[in-house]
Amino acid sequence: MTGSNTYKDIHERLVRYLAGEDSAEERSETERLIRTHETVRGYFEDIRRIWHSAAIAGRHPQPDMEAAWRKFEKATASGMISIPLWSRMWVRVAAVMLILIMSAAGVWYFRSVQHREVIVSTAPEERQTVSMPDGSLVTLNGRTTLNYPKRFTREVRHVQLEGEGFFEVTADEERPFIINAGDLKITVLGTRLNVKAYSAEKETEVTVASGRVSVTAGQKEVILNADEKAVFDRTLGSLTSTVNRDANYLAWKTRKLVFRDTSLGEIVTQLNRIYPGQEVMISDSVARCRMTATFDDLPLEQIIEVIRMTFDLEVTREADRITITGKGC
Amino acid sequence: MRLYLHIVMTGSGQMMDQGRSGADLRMFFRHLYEEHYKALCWYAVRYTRDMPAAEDIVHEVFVAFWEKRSTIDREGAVKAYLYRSVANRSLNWLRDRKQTINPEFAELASGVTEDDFYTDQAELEARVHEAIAKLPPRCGEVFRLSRFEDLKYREIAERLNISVRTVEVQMSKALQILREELKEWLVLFLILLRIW
Repeated sequence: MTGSNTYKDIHERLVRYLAGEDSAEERSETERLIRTHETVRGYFEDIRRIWHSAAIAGRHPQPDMEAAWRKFEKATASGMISIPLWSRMWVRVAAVMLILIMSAAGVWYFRSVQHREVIVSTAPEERQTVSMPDGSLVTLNGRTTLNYPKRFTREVRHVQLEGEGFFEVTADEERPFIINAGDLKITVLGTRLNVKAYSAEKETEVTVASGRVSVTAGQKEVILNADEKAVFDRTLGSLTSTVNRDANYLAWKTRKLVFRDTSLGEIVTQLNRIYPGQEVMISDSVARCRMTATFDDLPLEQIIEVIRMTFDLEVTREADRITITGKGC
Repeated sequence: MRLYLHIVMTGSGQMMDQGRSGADLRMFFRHLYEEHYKALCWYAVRYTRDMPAAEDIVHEVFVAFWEKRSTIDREGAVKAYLYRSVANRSLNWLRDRKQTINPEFAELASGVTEDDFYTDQAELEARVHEAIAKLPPRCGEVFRLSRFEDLKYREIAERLNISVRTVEVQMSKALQILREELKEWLVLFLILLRIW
């Protein structure tokens, strides 16, 4: 049992024994070898086991694992089998769809919020200052409506004005600030300007305090610099630009009135504009008088008092009417 | 909603996180098929004495396991579960056909326990079948005639028109190759022998 020949001999002897191909003598000799040699016994048990297993294996065909696997996949792929909820494809698809729908709804809501309009309307005697989402300020005169979006888009700042407003536009060269006022489209980058666009009045005015502004009405366009104003005549359809001579165009906002050799008739017209609560009436003879004065945010009563003393006039007060009479100039 | 999570002890003893996705689960079952399908069939065929019937039983066991797979967590437990299920279904199969178990495997009538001799034996049978198929052609032919058809050496020699000595040499060679091939499956058996 030391050489390979011996080993091979023993192996052949054991196989012969299993096959029953040996003589009775050889058989008992083999049995003795198995009993006495542990190594032989172990080896013999191995091949004996293979010998018997092979006999059993020979009775049946080897099962076809691949075919069985296909059969299994087919059986378990059908919806008949209860799969934990999350493992079902439709549940996953539905979940993904739901997420998509929710996201779309979120985006839609966000956009609708972004485009949502803010409308500010003032009463006849009211003044109001509105702060825009970009930091621009708009002071509204009475009977004025301003529309602007809750959020400006990335490309443009668009507002709509009906009435009169003084705009202090925050500089943003990337996003022009566009005011739609009646028939006018006013494009500014960063500037201060007054827009007067009451639908009841026949003229629409844009007056620039500082900066540069483009005003268009249909095909017509004028460019305004500081202290220039554009006037659009709605009945004529004309758009003209002039130097602004009206020092008081912003008085509705500042209540600062500057008069240089101005007739009392004109002064009263301005006062009625700036102080809409009460109506000031003046007789024709007195209206011709001219005066130079600066009223800086004074109450109407004080202004009337200054005028009365200057020309030694008579003033009568009724409920909401002040009448000025006198000798005249 | 319960999220399916499956922890499987793999053959190498590593913990493998299975489940979560259907693809992972498929792979797990594919692995079970490759590892156990044939042996389970060889196990079932002891009861049924009919391989197609055995294959049907194993298929049913796997489908049932697919349906309730989340309750079993270790591969060791999975294997035991599969064998136990096959045994139970096989006994039902016999009962339905009013057949009795092959007296050769009488012990199986009471069902089995884990690490049963027969589960190892079934695995060996599946491997033996594969190993025989891989023998050199002439060697395999001789071996099959001996073991599958139970022919004597002389009969084989006549059938193949070769000498009895050649048959003996081929038989010897076949067993040598098979033992080498099946070594790892035989080790376990030896350990069991010692215990007995």
